[in-house]
Amino acid sequence: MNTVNHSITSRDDKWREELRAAIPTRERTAIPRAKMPEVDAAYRITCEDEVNQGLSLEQAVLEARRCLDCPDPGCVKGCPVHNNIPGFIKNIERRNFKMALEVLDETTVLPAVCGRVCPQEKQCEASCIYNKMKKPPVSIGNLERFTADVNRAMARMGATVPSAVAEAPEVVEEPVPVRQAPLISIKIAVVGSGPSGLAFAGDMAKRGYNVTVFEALHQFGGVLKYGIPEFCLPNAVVEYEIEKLRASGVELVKDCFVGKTFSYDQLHEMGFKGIYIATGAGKPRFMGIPGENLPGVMTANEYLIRLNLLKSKIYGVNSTSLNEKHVAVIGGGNTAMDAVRYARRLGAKRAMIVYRRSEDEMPARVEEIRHAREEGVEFLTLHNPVEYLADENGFLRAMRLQRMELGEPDSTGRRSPVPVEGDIVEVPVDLVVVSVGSLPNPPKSLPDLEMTRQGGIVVDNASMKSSASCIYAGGDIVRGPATVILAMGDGRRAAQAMHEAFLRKLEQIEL
Amino acid sequence: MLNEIKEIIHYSPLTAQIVIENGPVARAARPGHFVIVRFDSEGMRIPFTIVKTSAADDTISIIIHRAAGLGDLLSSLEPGMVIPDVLGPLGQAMKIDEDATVVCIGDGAGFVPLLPVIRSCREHNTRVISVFSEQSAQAACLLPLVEKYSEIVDASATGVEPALNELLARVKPDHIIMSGPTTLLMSIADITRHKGVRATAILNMMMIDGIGLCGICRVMVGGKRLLTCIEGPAFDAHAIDFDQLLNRQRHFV
Repeated sequence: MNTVNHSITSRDDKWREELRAAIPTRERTAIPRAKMPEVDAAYRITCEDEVNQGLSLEQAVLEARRCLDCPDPGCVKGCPVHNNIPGFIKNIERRNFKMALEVLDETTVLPAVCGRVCPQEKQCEASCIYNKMKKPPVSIGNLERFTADVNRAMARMGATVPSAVAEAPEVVEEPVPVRQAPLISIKIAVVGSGPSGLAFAGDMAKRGYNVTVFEALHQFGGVLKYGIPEFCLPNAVVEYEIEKLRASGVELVKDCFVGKTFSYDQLHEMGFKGIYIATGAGKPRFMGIPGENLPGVMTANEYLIRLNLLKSKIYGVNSTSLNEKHVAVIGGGNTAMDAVRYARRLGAKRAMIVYRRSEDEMPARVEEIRHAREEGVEFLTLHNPVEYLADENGFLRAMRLQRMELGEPDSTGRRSPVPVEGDIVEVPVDLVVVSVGSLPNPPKSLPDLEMTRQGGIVVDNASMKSSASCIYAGGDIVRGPATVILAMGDGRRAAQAMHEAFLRKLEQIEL
Repeated sequence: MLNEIKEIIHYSPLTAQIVIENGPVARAARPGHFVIVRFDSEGMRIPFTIVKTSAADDTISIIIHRAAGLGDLLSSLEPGMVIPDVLGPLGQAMKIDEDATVVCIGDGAGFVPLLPVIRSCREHNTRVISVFSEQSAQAACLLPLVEKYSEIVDASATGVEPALNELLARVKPDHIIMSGPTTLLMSIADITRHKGVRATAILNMMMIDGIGLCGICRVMVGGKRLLTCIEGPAFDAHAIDFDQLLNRQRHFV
């Protein structure tokens, strides 16, 4: 089965056949995987510079050459939104970066973001043919990021090619087919400006709808802004995507908590014919152990929002400070890694990950774990907090950790941790950041909406339509905490389904 | 213009009411709601009780108290300025008692959250007795705002607890609503628990996002961990774990 559908490039294109024939497979597979240039660990913990600097143009073209343009590409199946991966990579190989982005744009809206934060090692790259040859897979994520970044640089300079590209020989430029959408003056409301809402808004605007995005916070981008730190995903990258949306006619309204500032009924009265709810999963989870409400124990959301959104390194005198000496982050996900790496940047002498399973079971990306280790983060794996202890002033002073060992595999296939009887250690700590997951943000004042027990919105899996008419939903508010790419995919599917629903209505109209 | 300061009403050198244009919030706000405000683009997100709304001219009012550490802020504001961010109305609206007798107890800046409740009580045909505590010099300027709607008990000479005991000896209120320092809330909750009077405490908590993400305003109520920004700011005073709350608050500001 061919998983690449309706793309502007197919494997049978003449240029792709010629490209494949130009270099023998043996030569392609002999090229080593490009190494992502990274800022030195000793320096990067002193600042918020992005750690991964991005592949150079020549690195990217060489890496693109490694891709064998397989007849039945596994990578495409491994991608949750089925990006035409060989299609964009082969365009990089022939230096048509503009078309490479066009190919990505067919299926994804945030390549600069996904290229940075997707767990490629579990998705596209896990299905690359190179794995079967016992070689490192093609660096798909880095190439996706390169494609977005090089095009952003071109657009910023207002030129067709940036200097770095201009200097390079044989840049292929072909006119890219322009998609024209008829202007349909149907008003659509998007609740939440995270990856899912942005993806939905972009797709609906492309189809000519009149789209308004409502965001409760004072900045747009949702978790991309408040959750993911600058050193993993620079704000400028997110800002650029938001500016692009604005330029395509999407209206963005900040400081507007739908359900509070406006009710959903009011949205209908204001003439919005379709609503997409993408309010995310930001409600913090706690473990429910003694001492969790002590000053000095905070949620990963609090820690990261204060740093990412408010740029507050401290509150001030006599208040909970963020730049403490001994910091423990509880959890093994990407958010936990982000928090603990920030702690190092704030000067923590000891920045620890406390995780109840072993490193193999950690949900965080392999690269995040490696970066954390390079930056001097300690890993207390197979440790589970059972209590936080206060000093005589009522402030956090230590944590009691239960030692764990791995038992039988559980329903997720991961070996479940069991306590080692009587083996409890006490570790001094000034700040604990709890990062043990989150729950869906409850939508307020929604009429007749079917919800799951965990507080997620129930939708039809194919259309993302909720139980209420004209309300669709997607992203973490439906799935619980998941990935950017899945949230984005939901937004795209919902846009497609909502558009089709409108077309069906239109067909019934007679003049 | 959205978020423009229309008027600043000075009640004292320490206290002023800021009238802000924001139609959507003005129309949606009910007594008990609050807004999160950022006064400059680099600023903190600070919660303020919505003390008054006017649907006629699309405005909401907040009160800034110099005592709350916001002195510099107050002197920096002028009519005509546009505030970058006003988010609301947040929290849960309070259920206002009808045809009842309610005692409102506040202290200093703590009296501010009671203002919309007192006014609304009167609209619901409820008798209100306001008890101003010993620190009332700061709040005294707010007296004219409640005199029209409420009987006043001045507790500045005796202290709030004796004044309340004396009051409860001659009046049997249906509900006591309080706001102010946590120590005051604690001692009033003790008195009302013994007397068997229903009591509600409006908590003044530090907040960051105000929409339930950060968890900094968490409080244990009846054994459950609740977020003041989402479920509050008013809670059953007899169910709040004040010891834990006091311990958390000592370290913030």
